[in-house]
Amino acid sequence: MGWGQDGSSRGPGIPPAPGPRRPSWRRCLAAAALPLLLAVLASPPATADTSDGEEPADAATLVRQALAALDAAPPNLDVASDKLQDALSASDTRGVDMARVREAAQALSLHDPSTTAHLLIAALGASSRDDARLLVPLRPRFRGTRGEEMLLVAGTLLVALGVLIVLRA
Amino acid sequence: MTRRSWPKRLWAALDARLALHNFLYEVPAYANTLPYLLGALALMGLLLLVGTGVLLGQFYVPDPGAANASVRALMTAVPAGPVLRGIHAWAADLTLVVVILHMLRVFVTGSYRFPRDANWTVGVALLATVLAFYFTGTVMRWDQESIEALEHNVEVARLLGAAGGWFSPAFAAHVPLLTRLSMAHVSLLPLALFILVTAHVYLVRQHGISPLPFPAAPGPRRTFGQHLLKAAGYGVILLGVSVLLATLLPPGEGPAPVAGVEVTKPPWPFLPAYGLENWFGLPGLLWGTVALFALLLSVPLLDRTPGGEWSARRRVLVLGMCALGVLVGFGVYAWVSHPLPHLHLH
Repeated sequence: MGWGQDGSSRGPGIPPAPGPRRPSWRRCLAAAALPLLLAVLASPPATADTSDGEEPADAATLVRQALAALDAAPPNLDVASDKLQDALSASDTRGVDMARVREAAQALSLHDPSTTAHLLIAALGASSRDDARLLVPLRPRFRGTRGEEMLLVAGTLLVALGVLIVLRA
Repeated sequence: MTRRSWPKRLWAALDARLALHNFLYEVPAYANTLPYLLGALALMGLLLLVGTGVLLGQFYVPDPGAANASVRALMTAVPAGPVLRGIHAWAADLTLVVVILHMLRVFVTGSYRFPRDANWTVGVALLATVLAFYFTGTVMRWDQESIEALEHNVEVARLLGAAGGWFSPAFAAHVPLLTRLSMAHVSLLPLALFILVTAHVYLVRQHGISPLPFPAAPGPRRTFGQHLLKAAGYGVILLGVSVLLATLLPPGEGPAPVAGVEVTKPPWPFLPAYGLENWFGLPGLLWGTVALFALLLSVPLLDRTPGGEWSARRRVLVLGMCALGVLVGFGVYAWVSHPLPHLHLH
């Protein structure tokens, strides 16, 4: 009989388990206290203000932050609105079409995040440092093309092959 | 004299050179059931991730100015790029699920008890490594979720002080942190994974398959070779499911990130930590995670009850399920809550 078959399942040269002993409450308490101590350490402030930066002054960054808030799931309209207001009053508006930002702010006030995002991307399109293509999310979907159908067949065949191996093994 | 079939001749030729018969040692019948194959299946998933990761790495630029564009190029201009990326992303999720299920099986069956307590520790280290893979992979995508994960990395490093030096941008000020985390994803973590998996498998071999926590009639004799074959079968199923998911639900790519705003939530493995962060701030995320791993490491210390049967370990099992319930509760709370700013970034 190979080892691993008996109840102990010990390999050669492995010493037996120490005999039954009373659980050491001190050890149990110490082990339980560690996470508790760490939890207490975790309890201080509900939020940690670890920033040492300042609000960005350039409209381009603020508009991009507004775009990020709009792209979140669900869109964070409050953050987007704050950032757009800051962008509209920013002193550095280089590379940003501010007329479109104003239009975007109006669209946002009408709770239309989709139009707002399109206008903001257009507003940044004039910026040389922002590649407008990178501001649009890339969300591929299943379209049922020939290639995708072949992949579905391949995946199904792999699952069937795997099931066959499992059943025969 | 009858001539042997070619598979037998091939086996004999390989066995004479590689001593493959050493893998044909006996294992208990229950070792070939799915709960006891989860570890091997996790290994199959990791191999799949290494394979697809090596291919993806040929098209990835680990630089903040080019990473997002390189992911997009992979998705739009590289033949089979989208499905390759989809398999990698879905296999990462599936493998992590398998790792967690494997850990739960080991806990429920008490397989962490002496003399396997050292291997439990290696397993906890493996869980941390797999989570680190997941985290660095998330950052490498380089969209808004990625940069917010990176900002959390930086703030946690700051909270740790000198201990967090390695993880802070100041450690190598002229190298972007994204580049360093990418390096960790493709070299440091695979090295750690290799060492830990080797140790894990070695200790499983030394101690044998752990006994069942209840009396059972001995089943038919099985060999480790059959165990491996069955694990390979489940591995093929994992690959097939990854291909199907990559085709039906391909992963997307968000806009290029912008720093200074916190509007996303982390992926599902980090939702419990995010829930803690919502309640206790960044220290909650850090120390809650440390507490979880301290708790996992202390499991063999906490459970010293003689006998491995379920009836003898009722209290430990109930406590474990309560801890799991708390973890899942925090995760669900984080999942249904709206993203909150924690870092007060500007």
